[in-house]
Amino acid sequence: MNDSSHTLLCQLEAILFAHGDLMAKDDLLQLMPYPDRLDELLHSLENHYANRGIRLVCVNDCWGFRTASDYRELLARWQRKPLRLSQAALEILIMCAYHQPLSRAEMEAIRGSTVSSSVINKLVELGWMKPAGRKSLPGKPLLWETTQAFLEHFDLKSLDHLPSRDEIRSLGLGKGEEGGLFAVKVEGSS
Amino acid sequence: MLHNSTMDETQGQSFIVNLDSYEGPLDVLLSLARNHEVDLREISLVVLAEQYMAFLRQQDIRHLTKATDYLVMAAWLTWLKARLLTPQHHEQEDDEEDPFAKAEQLREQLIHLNLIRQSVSWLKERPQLGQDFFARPTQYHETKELSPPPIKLYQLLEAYSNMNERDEGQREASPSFRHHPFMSVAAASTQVQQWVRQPTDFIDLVREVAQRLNQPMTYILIPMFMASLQLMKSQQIMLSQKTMDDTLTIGMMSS
Repeated sequence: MNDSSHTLLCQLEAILFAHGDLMAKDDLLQLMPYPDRLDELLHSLENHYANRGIRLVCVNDCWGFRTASDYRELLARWQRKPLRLSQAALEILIMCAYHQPLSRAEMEAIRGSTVSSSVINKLVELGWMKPAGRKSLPGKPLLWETTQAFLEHFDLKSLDHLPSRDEIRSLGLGKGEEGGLFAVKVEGSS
Repeated sequence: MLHNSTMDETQGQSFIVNLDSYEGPLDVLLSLARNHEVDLREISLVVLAEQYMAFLRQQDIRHLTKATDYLVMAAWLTWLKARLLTPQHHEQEDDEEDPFAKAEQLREQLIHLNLIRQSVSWLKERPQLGQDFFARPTQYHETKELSPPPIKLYQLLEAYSNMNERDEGQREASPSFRHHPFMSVAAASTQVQQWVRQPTDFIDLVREVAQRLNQPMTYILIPMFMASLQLMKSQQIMLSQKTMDDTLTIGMMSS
């Protein structure tokens, strides 16, 4: 790598470090006007950090530093209170991620039960879901979609990185794992 | 016999299945189906329908409103079961009533819901921000360039001279040293940060806070204004006034 490349790499590193949060590529281009080289620089920086305590991550073409998840115990003191989300909320979130934009009626059709507005509000409050216009149907129902913050929270590069139908099946998840969800409540029979 | 499901076996024991632990009829059907430990595509819907009925019979249905969805599903499954068992009598019906198509639709719905459930399990296993990996806390805020207020120099001078004139008038009156208790600016700052969300009229905000604290407005008006100015300087809130006589609007600084 020649000197100018090295300088550009250092500049990029400095910008991303100072910004703190993930930074959109368009914003990076304003500070580093090298549209033909930015991708290459980002990827070499990504490789540089691949085996470090911090990693360069990309979510929906936004780049920034995150700690490597291998050190979660070490960083436990900064851990936020874990989110307690209901199964219903997680199902709605996943449905939305796969089929967005989705109206409430469509969510209800998939789940076969009512979707309360408090669950949607909770997801909106977390910043993981947002309104995405209205459907051209009688009543103009509101549509919902997932956000960048949702992808960032679950370390997903983009929606395309959600597992496919076959991948989900091959993971063999969901059998007995949910415990509380499928366990039938037995009272006084133990 | 396929009838010998867990549900039937446990009937008669002190076995209370609570509708509250299910999220709708599809949820019940799916969990019944999963007890079979066979592929959802191969499960017999006739057997499933019977098990669903058995499940529902065990329920203590006192609140019809809560159970409506379950009963509608029961009625529909009864219809489906009858048609599936005696298809030859219904050949003359149109395609929309085709029980096999309907059964397939239900099967698809169950498979879909099952996939959603499995995806949720997948999502739960993902590393999470603030739990498994961390972002760098942003300490420095970008400075926002605000356009100067649309007032002319003479308006500013006029306001200043008006203020001076008011002062003159007051100075002539005999001075009084009545003691007014004030809230501290720090406390006012907390109040402002706590209650400001959407842009609102500053005076309305003061009135609201005064009511909450059960204090006269004079107790908090000045401290709250000073706190607001400080918060505006640190770019946490926004104070704006369109014209000189307009109301003062206070709101959060959008990030």
